[in-house]
Amino acid sequence: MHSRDLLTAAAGHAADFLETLPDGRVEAEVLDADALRAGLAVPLPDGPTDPRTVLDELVAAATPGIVRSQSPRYFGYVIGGTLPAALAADVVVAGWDQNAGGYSVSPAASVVEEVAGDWLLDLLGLPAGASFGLTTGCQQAHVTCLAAARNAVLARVGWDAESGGLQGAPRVRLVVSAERHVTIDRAARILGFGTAALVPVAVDAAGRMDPVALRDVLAAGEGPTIVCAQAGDVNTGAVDPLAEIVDAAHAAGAWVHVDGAFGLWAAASPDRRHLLEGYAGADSWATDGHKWLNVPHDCGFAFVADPEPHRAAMVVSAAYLRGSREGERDGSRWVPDFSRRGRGFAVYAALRSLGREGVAELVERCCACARRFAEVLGAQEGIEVLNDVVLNQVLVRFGDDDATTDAVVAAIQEDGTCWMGPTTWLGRRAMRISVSNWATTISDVDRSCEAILAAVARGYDSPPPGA
Amino acid sequence: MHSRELLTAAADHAASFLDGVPERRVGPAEIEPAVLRAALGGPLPDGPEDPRAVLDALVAAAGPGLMVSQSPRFFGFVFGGSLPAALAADWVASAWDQNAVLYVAAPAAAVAEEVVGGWLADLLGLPVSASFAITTGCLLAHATGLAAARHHVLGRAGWDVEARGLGGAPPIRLLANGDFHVTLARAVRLLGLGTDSLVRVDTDAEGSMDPGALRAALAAGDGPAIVCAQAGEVNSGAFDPLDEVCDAAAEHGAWVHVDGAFGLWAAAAPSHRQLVAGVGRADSWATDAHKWLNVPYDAGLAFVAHPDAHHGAFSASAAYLPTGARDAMDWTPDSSRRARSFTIWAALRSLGRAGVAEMVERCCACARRFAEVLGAQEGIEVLNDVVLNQVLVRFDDDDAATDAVVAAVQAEGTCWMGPTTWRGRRAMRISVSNWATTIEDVDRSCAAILAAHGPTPAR
Repeated sequence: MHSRDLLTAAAGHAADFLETLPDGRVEAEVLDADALRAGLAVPLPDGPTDPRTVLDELVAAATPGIVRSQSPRYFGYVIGGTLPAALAADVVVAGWDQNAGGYSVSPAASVVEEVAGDWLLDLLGLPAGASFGLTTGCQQAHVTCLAAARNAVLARVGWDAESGGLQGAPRVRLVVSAERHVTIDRAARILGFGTAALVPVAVDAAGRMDPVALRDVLAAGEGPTIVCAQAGDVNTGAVDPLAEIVDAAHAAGAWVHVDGAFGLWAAASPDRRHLLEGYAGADSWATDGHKWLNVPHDCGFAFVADPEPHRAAMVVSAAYLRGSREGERDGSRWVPDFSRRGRGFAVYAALRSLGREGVAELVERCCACARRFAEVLGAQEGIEVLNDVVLNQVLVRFGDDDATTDAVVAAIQEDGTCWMGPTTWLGRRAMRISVSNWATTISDVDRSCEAILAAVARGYDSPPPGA
Repeated sequence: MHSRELLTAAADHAASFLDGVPERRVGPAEIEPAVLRAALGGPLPDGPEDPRAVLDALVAAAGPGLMVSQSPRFFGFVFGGSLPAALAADWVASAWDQNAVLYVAAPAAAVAEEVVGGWLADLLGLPVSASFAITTGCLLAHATGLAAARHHVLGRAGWDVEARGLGGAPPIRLLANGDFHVTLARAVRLLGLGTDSLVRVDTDAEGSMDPGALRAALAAGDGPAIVCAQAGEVNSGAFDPLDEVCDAAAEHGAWVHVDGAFGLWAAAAPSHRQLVAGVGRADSWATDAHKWLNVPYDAGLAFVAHPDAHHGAFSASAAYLPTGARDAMDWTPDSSRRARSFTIWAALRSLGRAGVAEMVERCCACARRFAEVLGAQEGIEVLNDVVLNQVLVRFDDDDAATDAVVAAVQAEGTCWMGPTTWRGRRAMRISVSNWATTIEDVDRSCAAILAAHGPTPAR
C-alpha cells in the first residue's frame, strides 16, 4: 500500500528543491548528458527496489540536471513557474489519479474543467458560447483548433473531413505569418496539410503581419482558407493587427485562428488588453496554461467560437463508454487526447488563488519587469534594445556584434544569477529575455541587470572558479 | 513563495485519500453535475484567495465526485492505479516543473527519457534499435506511430507528406482489425486520413483478426497500406495472430502498427508472452503506461522500428543523427510537455523486470478467478476466453438483467465495473489492471456481484 511516510518524503524533496530557488543558481549544475547518464542509466533491475530508495535515488541522480525554470530569475523561455495553489492541486490530483476523459469516470474532474473553462472564457474576453479543450500545451491546442477549422472550411464546400480525409479533398490554404511559431508548422504536418499548404504573409519590423499583404494573399487564391494570426511574437512579443486581419479574412470567407501561446494573456490585463483589439472576432484561439498562468507542465487551452466543428472534429464513442448526459462534460471530446490527466484541477486552483485581479497583476508585473530590463540595459552605451517592449519580451544586443552578444549570453548563463538564451532577430543575434514567472519582481530584474552589466564589464568572461 | 506547510498539507490530503482507498466505496456517489457545480463553480473570483484555503476547498468540494479508480477493486476500465514510487516521483516532477521539450530545457528529464525508452523496448520484447516517444496516452501514441507510417509508406511512393500533405497523395489503405478501438479511428481522423480509408478486416468470435481475411483484403487493392493489428481487444482481451499478420503484411509491403494499449504488457510476463508471438516484427507499437504500468495519468508510449521515418514525421530538422542528446520534440506530437519520464523511471526501477511480470500475471490470475467463480454459477455466463485481464460476464442471458446487475454493483460500492455490448449482447465488463489488486479483492467483489444478482431462482 501507499505509505504516508513515502508521500511525506516526496513532499519534503519537493519543498527542499523549491526553497533553493529564490537565491540559488539558475543554470542546471550538470548539462553534460554522459554525466547525467552515470546516475540515471542503470540497467533495468531484475527485481524490485524499495520505493523510498527509488525516490531518493531519482532525486539524487536527476537534481543536478534540473533546469531552474521555476526561478524568479529564469528568463530563458516563456516557461513560467508554478503557483503554490496550482502545485498543491497538482500533487493532490496525482494522488487521486483521475482519468479526466469523461464525466462518468470522474464527475469532479469534469465539473472542475467546465468551471475552469468558463472562467477562462470570461477572463480572456472570449465569446461566452465558445467551446474549449484542455490540451497538453499550445501545440495540441493548435492541432485541436485547426482540426476544427479543417472540419468547418471543408464542410462549407461539401466535404466531410472526418470520413473523407484530405486525400481527395479540396485543397485548404493555411495563410500564416512569416514570423509564425514552429508549432504551427508541426500542427499543419500532423493534420495532413503539409508545410507546402502554408502561405506566408509578410511582417513589419516588429514581426506583425501586414494586413495589406494579407488581403493580397487572400485575393490571389481561392477555396477553403484558414488564416493563422499571432498574438505575441515569440521574440518581440508583438501582436498582429487582429481587427484588420479578422475583417480581411472574414470578408474572404476564411477561418481565423489566433496563436496566443502567451500573448493571449494580455486580454486578462486592463493595461495590456488594447494590444489585442479585435481578437474576440476570431474563430479559434490557442494558448498555454503552463506559461503565463503558471500551472505545472503540461497544460494548454483550445477555444473555438463555434462548438459544432470542434465537437465534430474530436468526438468519439464506444460501446463500453457511457455517453454523457445533458449537462455532463466529457473532456476527451474536445481534445486530441482520450485518457488524460486531470489538468483542470491545477487550472482551477491557479485561477481561484489569483482571482481576476491577481491574474491582471501577474501579467502587468511581468510586463513592467520587461520594461525595466529595457530601461536599465538600453541606457548603457553599447547595448541596444532591438524591439518595442509591448509585452514581456526584450531583445538585447551587445556591442552591435553577433559574437559579443553570444559571449555575453554564455557568460550570464554560466554566472548563474539569472538565465536567458540567445536568438536571431532580423538577422542579428540578440539576448532574448522573457518574463513570465509569478514570483519575478523588479528586484529580480535589477539583480539580473547587475549580473549582465558585470559580465559586460568583465569582458564577457565567466567568473573565475570560486568567485 | 512556496511554503513547505502548503506542500505538506497537499501531501496529507493525498495520503488521507489513499489511506481510505482500500475500504472506500469505489464508485462516486450518483451525483448530479449541478451539485458539484454548486460546490466548485460560481463566477471567477475578483480577488486572490489564500492557496491553503483554495486547496482545502478543492479537496472538500471535489471529494464526492471522485471515481476511486485507485481502488484495488476498481475493474471498470483498464485504468490501473499509481505505484507508490511512481506517485512519489510524479510529485517531485511537478515541483521541478521541467519543460521536457528539448534537452537544453530539461537535461535530466531528457536522459531519464532515453533510459526508460531502452528499458521498455527490452521489457516489451521490441527491437533495441526502435525509436520511441512518450505521449499522453495511447491515442497520441497511435497518432505518432501512424504519422511515422504515413511518412514511410508515402515516402516509398515518392511522396513527401511533410511538405506536400495528403492532398493529391496516393491514397493510403488502413486495414484494421474489425474490432479496432475508437482511439485508432480518432488518430486516423486527426492525421487527415479519414475514416473512409479504414478497411475492417474480419475477426473471429473472440475479436482476433482472421489472417485469411487480411490476406484477401491486402490482395483486393494496391498502393500504400498500413495494417492495424491489435494486442488485447478492449472487451475480450483477445490477440491478433501477429506472426501471421506480419507475414501477410510483408508479402504486400504493408506497414504493421500494433495497438497494444494494455495487451502489449503480456510481453513482460513469461507466462503470457506467447500471446504476442511475432510482435517484434511489426513496424510500430502503441501502448499506455498509465494503464498496466500503473503510473499516474497521463502517459503513453509509441515505438517505431524505423527511427528515420519517426524522426521525419515530427522533427523540424532535416536529418536524423542518432548521437548525442535527445530532443523529445523530434519524436512526439507535443512540444512543451511534462517530464513523464521521471514517473516511468521510478515505476520500472521499483518493480524491476520480475515485479512487472508478477503484476501482469497476478492481474491475469485475478481475471481467471472472476471467470471461475462467476462462471460456475447458474444463470451467469462468461462470454470470452479469458486469455488476459478481461472478463465479460452476462447474467440470465438477458440484456436488462445484465444491466441491472451492473447498476446494482456500482450502487453497492464494494467494487466498480461497467457494462458493454459484445457480439450484440450486453455484458458486465471486468478489467483487472491495478498493481494492488489481489485474489481476496476478487473474492470480495464476486460476493458483492452474486449478492446483486440475487438468489438463483428455484426450478
